[in-house]
Amino acid sequence: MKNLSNIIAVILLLLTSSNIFAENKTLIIYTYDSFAAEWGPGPSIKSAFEKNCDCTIEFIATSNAATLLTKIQLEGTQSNADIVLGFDQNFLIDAEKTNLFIKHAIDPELNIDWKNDYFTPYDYGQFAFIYDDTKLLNPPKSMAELIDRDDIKIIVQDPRTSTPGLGLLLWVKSIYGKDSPNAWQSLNDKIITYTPGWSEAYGMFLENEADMVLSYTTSPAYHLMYEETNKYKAASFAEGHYMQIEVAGILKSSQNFKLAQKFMNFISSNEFQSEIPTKNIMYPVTNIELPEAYKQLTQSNNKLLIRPELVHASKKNWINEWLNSQ
Amino acid sequence: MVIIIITLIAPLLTILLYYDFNSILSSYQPYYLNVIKFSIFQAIISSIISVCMGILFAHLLFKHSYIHGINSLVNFLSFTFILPTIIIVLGIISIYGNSGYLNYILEFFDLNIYGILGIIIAHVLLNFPFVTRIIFQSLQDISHDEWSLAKHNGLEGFALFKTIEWPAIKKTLPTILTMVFILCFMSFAPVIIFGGGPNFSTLEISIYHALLFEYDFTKAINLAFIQIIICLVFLLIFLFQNRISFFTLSENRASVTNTYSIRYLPDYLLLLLFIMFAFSPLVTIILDGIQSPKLLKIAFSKSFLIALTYTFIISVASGLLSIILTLGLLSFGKNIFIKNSLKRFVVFETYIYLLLVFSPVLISSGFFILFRQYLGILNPGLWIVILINAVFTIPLSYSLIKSSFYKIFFEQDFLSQSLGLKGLTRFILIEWPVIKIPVITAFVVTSIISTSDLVIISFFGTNNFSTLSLLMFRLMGSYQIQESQAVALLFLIYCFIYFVISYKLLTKLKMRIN
Repeated sequence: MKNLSNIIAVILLLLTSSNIFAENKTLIIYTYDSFAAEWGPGPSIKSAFEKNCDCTIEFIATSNAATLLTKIQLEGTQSNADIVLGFDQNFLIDAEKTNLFIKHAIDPELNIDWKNDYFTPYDYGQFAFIYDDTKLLNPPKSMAELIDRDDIKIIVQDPRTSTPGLGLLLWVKSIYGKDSPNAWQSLNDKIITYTPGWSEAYGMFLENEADMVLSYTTSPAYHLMYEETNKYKAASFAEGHYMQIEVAGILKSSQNFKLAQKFMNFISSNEFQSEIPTKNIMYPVTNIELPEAYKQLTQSNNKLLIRPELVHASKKNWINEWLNSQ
Repeated sequence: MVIIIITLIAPLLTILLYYDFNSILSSYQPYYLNVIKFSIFQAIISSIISVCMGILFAHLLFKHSYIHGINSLVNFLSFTFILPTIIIVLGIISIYGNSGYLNYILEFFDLNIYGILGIIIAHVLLNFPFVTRIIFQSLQDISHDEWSLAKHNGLEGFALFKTIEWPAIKKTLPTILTMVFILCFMSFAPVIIFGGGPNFSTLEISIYHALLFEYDFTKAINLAFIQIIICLVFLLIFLFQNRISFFTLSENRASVTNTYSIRYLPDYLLLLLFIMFAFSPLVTIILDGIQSPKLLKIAFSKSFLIALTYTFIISVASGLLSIILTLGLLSFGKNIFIKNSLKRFVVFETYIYLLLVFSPVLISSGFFILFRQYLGILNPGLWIVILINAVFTIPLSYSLIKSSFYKIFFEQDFLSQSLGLKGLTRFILIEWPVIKIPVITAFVVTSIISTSDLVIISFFGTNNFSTLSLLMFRLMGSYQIQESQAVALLFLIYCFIYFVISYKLLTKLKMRIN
């Protein structure tokens, strides 16, 4: 039965892909695969929001958060999207400069320091190296130690194609500044491979291809919640951990501004935020009750963050610097 | 011709509008010198290995063509060439990957599939069966007299190879080497799956990065420019030799007089090894796919059905469009030939093969910007994917159809003129019956090759618009290996059914004039 209904659903989808037959309003949200996927927060957020509006949410997912902005830039003012949800603070100024976004005019109460007229955060996290504590008995206690050690193999993501990859680049930059190329040269000896995205890297790590993988301090919570194992740990680094704040914004070309604004307000609601820790494995941006697994995690008090303006101005140079230190 | 020029020039011009002349220098980084070196290096190594293996394999196949089934085997070799690249790549991962069947061999040498090794294995596996096919054909073209003469003079073994076979092979070598080089140089799927990181990146991948992730048209154009120049240099060698003729059949075939013999045992073993190597990815895909517990679940999942539908639309539409454009080009070429000199005709053919050197990523992004205003409501990605696939498969369909097309034209021109046949009537009565089979072959081949595309579709694909190649790529990217193995098997079945059914149906098709 389910098979048949899937076939019918696809046929209907193909027939109505331009939504001309849709009676109620459709809010089109561009996001990344893992947010919209069955196991991601997308489906339950969709049904929660649809309950209180005469509308339908359609997620259109690209395979990677880093390509979201390019997709919007390519489509320009012709885009069908109303909302883009999924890039992080490092793309903030790039996104603003495209002139394709409109001020959201909402003022949610958040647990992080945030002031931006165009974008509102929906979750945040801190990057960390994850290890299996039954295999790696003495994890490094700082970035400096990781760089000096020669008995550790790590997997990281490519900063050009992955937001965690860019996070690591900025993490190293915020610790080493002008000395970053040297840091990268020693770090490169430990890097087995640069993967295009987070999931490739994490998958390889779980297959025991490396001692550590670049991910988030919250990743152990996933294993606690869904696999009931506490062997995966996030290595706590003395220098602090780099922040990632993921944001959403409304497109200027949207025909449904009011509805889009309603969704932007919905982002900071309990219904939306309570899906974040369990499904997106990130911290919520409001003070909701966290799942039990999160209480076992340690958040670094030293939250590293380079100003979005500086990132915007220097990203290209820093990426070139990293490329040339390969 | 006009269409081709528009399809190439318009998007290029569009992108040039975004070209920032002030930042030409800033996009130059010493790193890209490494990328250029790596692109050339891996392509040269891949093409040399493919050609050497192809020569040896073809030689063995030809020498032992008395073995039952060798000819069908050789025909089947070209099938692996047109199969979607990502299927072969997944097959390689299942064999040599970290949990693959033969991983212990690589582990023994402390090697890893992710990196240059994987890229080269993939390129060799993708190309050497095809190389074998072409060389086998050139061996068949050696005339019977030459063989008899050689036998008469008592030539055997290496001496026989050197005096009779080598000269025939040598003629095709520059063409084959250039073709395989360009294919490996511009290759996308194997490089992005096995490499892709900063150390194993090619120009094509860097262009893709610059456009899709950095939205940096200036950098993309600069890199594409370098890519075109390098390709042109190699293509010039190819055009200088302009002898390409795949899949043509010679009439004066030599037959081999060898028979089964125990002294050929080493040969047989070697043949077996080659056959196993060539077909190992396919066999692995079939075995893994059947065993995949996700097979049924995937087959009826929404994502698979969407991907299957779009794959089908894209294969039919790209195949048709490619044939229409090619036929247009052929009649254009015919006119050039009649009105002008042979020299102009060669120039004309040069333009067609020049298509091979343009980066599909660059052209498709140009298209997208150009047409986004007009295609807003419809799915612009779909049209662009179809159009670009059709255009980029033109060189292949052209070379598949051209020999019979020009042959029939020159043989029957006098007859048609004396009968007063013109235009469509003449085409249907005189030309179609002869070019029908090559046209159908070209249609099926370009259709299936269009499904292989990962560059253009990964540019426009979303969860509601994907192809089987993209679906596999995404599943592999999110480490859902069992799911991707299931899709691979279904994809393989799709290609096979498409191949058989369209071939059978179309050859039965008759055109009538009432």
